[in-house]
Amino acid sequence: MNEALVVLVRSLIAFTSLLVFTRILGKQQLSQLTFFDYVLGITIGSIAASVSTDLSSPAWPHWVGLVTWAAVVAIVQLCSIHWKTADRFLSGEPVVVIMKGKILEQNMKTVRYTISELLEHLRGKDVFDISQVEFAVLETNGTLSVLLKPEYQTPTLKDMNITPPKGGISTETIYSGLVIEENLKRAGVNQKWLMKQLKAQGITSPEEVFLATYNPQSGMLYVDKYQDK
Amino acid sequence: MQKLIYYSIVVVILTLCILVMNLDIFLSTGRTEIDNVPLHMSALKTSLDNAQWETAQQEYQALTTAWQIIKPRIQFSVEKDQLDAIDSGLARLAAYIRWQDRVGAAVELSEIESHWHDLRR
Repeated sequence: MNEALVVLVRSLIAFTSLLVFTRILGKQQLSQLTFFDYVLGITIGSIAASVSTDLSSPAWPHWVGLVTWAAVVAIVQLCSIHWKTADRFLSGEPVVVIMKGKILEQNMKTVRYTISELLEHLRGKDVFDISQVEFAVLETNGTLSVLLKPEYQTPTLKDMNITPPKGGISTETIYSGLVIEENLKRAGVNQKWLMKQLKAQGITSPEEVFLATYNPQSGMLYVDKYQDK
Repeated sequence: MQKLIYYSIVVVILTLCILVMNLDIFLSTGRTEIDNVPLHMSALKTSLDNAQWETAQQEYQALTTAWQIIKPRIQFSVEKDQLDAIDSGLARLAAYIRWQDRVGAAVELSEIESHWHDLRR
């Protein structure tokens, strides 16, 4: 038995299978995962490792285990989407830990959330004085959502009666010296316009540019050249 | 159309993975007389039953050759320990045949047969 060759083939199988399954299972970011999702991810990863390198047993049963876990996760996700009760049961519910400025010790005890963790999470939200907090909710993914008392909230542009500048999303028009025609067309401009804008900034060729983005709403063209001088 | 291509690629990849992991079902069956392990095991058994040691020696060589052909084919889909067990069994079987120990050779061949059937489960 050529062990290295077998591990190579089995690793390719594990990698491609894992890639397919994770694509099917969705786009949740690590920070959005609940504890259960996290444990599921570790288990699936561990089974994939067995498919790859555990030569003491055939790959097939491990792979069947991998498919089963991925399928169960997919079913759980579908249940969570379609049934609110199932979602509450599977993902848990957010827990209020501070209400009207008062810490709810009983709720904290229920979710085994310590005061030092609460203070740490508050600091993570730029809140260094707990007396400024009106409400704090521990979300199912472990993050803390904080609502400050009105007197400590940052005023918005609306509060100050200021009309905000136009926002919008910028699109890449040049990347690594190559003009992206498709994005130019989508933004309603053309290459001639782009060259004119570049010339105005003293650039003679798109090849001098590492990245250029254009925001159609604000009309701003951001250009970053290879030469940073 | 693009979606269909994506789905087809996924199906092809997964099918290939399943095939590679179950290759032993197809490849352990010898296609010719040279790589037919069960055939040589059966012939060796007959030779041992009749105490024909010269024929047994020849059948043992044929069995070893067949096994060496089959082994690389099925290595991706079977347990390493089982392959090793058959290798060790063949090595012991060689000694029993050499010293014309009928009981020892029969026991060893029976164990090899058992491992062979386990491989194909």
